[in-house]
Amino acid sequence: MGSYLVKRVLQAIGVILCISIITFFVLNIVPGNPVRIMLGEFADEATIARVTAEMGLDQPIIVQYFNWLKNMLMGDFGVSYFQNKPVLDILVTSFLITAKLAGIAYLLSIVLGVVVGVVAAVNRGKWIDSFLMTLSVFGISAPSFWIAIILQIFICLKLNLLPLSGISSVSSFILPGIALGTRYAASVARITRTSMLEVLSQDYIRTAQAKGLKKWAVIIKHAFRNALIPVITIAGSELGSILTGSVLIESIFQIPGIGKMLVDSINTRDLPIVQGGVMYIAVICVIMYLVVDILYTFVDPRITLGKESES
Amino acid sequence: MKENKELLEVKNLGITFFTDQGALPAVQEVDFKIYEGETLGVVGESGCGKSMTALSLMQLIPTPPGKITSGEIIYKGEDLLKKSQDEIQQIRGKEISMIFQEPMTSLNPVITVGKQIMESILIHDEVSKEDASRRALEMIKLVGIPMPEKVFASYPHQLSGGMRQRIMIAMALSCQPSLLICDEPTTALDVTIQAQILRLINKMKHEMNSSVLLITHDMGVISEMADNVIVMYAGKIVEYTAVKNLFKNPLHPYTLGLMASIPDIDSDDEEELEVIPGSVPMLYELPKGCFFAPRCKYAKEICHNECPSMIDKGENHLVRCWKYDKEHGKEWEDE
Repeated sequence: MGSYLVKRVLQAIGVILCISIITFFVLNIVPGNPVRIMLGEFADEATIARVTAEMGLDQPIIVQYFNWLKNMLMGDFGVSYFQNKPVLDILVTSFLITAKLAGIAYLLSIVLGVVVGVVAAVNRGKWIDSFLMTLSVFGISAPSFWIAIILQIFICLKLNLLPLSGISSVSSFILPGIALGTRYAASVARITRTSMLEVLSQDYIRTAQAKGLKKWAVIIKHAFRNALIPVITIAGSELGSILTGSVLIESIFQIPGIGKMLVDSINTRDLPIVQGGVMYIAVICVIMYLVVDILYTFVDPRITLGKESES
Repeated sequence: MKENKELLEVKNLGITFFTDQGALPAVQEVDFKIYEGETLGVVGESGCGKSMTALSLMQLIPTPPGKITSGEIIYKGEDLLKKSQDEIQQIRGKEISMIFQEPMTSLNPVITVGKQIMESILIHDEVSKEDASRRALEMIKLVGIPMPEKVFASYPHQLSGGMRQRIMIAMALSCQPSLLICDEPTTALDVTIQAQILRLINKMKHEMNSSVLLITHDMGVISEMADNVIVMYAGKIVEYTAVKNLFKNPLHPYTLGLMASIPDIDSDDEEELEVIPGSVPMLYELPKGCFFAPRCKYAKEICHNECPSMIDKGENHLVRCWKYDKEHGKEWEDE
């Protein structure tokens, strides 16, 4: 397992390097001079040339890439063109805000999704199953911004229970968390139900019943763990995408998270932030897939890392 | 038949599947008894209701669509069908245990086999985890598995089919049940392993002083293992007698067909193996009279119109066939 892990980590680093190359070159091919945008339309050519040289933007693009990569490895993601702050600081600040939102949304999606999925599967064909699955179709199809607005109207404006927007307190994150998490909860619920139904029809479930185990002991001890693999897969990729921020939700609730920050930077062509942001997303996704692969082996002994299972 | 103490009596058992095609009678009018220390064999083709009958004893019929619609299952003097879910759970695994056909899929793939055996013990007996694990290890030794400590910590996929079936047997017997139901325990195994497993079941039965309900479609297995035999066809018992009677003097045309279709190694090469023409009727198109009549070479008019009940031919030999009816049997006498 140790050598497999090393191999996987090396692979992950390779993927991240490739992404860094693609990001850097694609962003630098896009026409438009950031210095010109930064200095405004009244700047004279001499100033533009001076600032360009200061920022190293006059060097060949290959050199620029390696400088960027070298600095990034030392924790220096460059300085934002417009905010005049280190990119890393800006990323960390927005990440901490997004993390709170993501935490609530993720908790909601996993806990609610798994419980709903299991309950629906166990009560297959009964009214509660139909009800929960109808609800989940609704959850998947309803756009998150629509849920956000409905929540704002009812919970904030009519009932005045929670803050409308901003990040003044933890309670400000509840509504955006629900709005963001609903869709994920619904898809986790559907995957959990499908997977549970498949497992519940297996022979070993009958064996567990024949032992005299109680109904819920059979479901939790014997069925649930076997049903986990697809749930882990989807939960891992969901955490990846939740952590990379939601532009819509962050805009509606005025949350200065990663998503909003990235879109703003793309609009102003603040390349260091965009590059840093893309690298952040790449790293998060690569880590999540690595974690998911390792989790598989804990859940199912038939999956062994690095070698074929010995059956 | 042996006249030991009666352990289980099934009376007029009926199991129906409620499906889109209507209510399908999977098992009808099934009566039998199991005595202490007895091995009762159940034979019949696939889909004849053998497994459903066995599952009904533990109330493990997949519900819905299946449901026990009539009858009584008297175990040690009490009707199991009147018991609550909780009471049934205490009987499952403790009083009545079951071994299934597919050892490859009958064990939970994500739990070590040792823990799976321990689980049975911990459910029913108030023992510490250490004691349960010690007993589980003993059971593994008892069913003749080499390197028991290693196997204890193994996952099912690391074991062969025969090993897994031994583990299933160890698990089923870990609480010393009075009745062991074996649902085609050797069907999925290699021929060389089959005999070992059957011998093991027999040995364990004697050691634990249990009764066995053995379901199979293999007449050879029946002749080796069973004391008494039930022959089932399309959900009904067609013949019920001691195993010696059945092989010496099979009465029902279906049983005769089954016997004739066993290959005989001493027979001439020229002799073709007999087959029963046609196939088992589907549950949604059961014939009006005797279910076997459309395939029976002896069938007369009455067979197509009315289903006979079980007829006692003496020496505890019961058969469901008009040929042996006192009144209607005369029609066959001339032949």
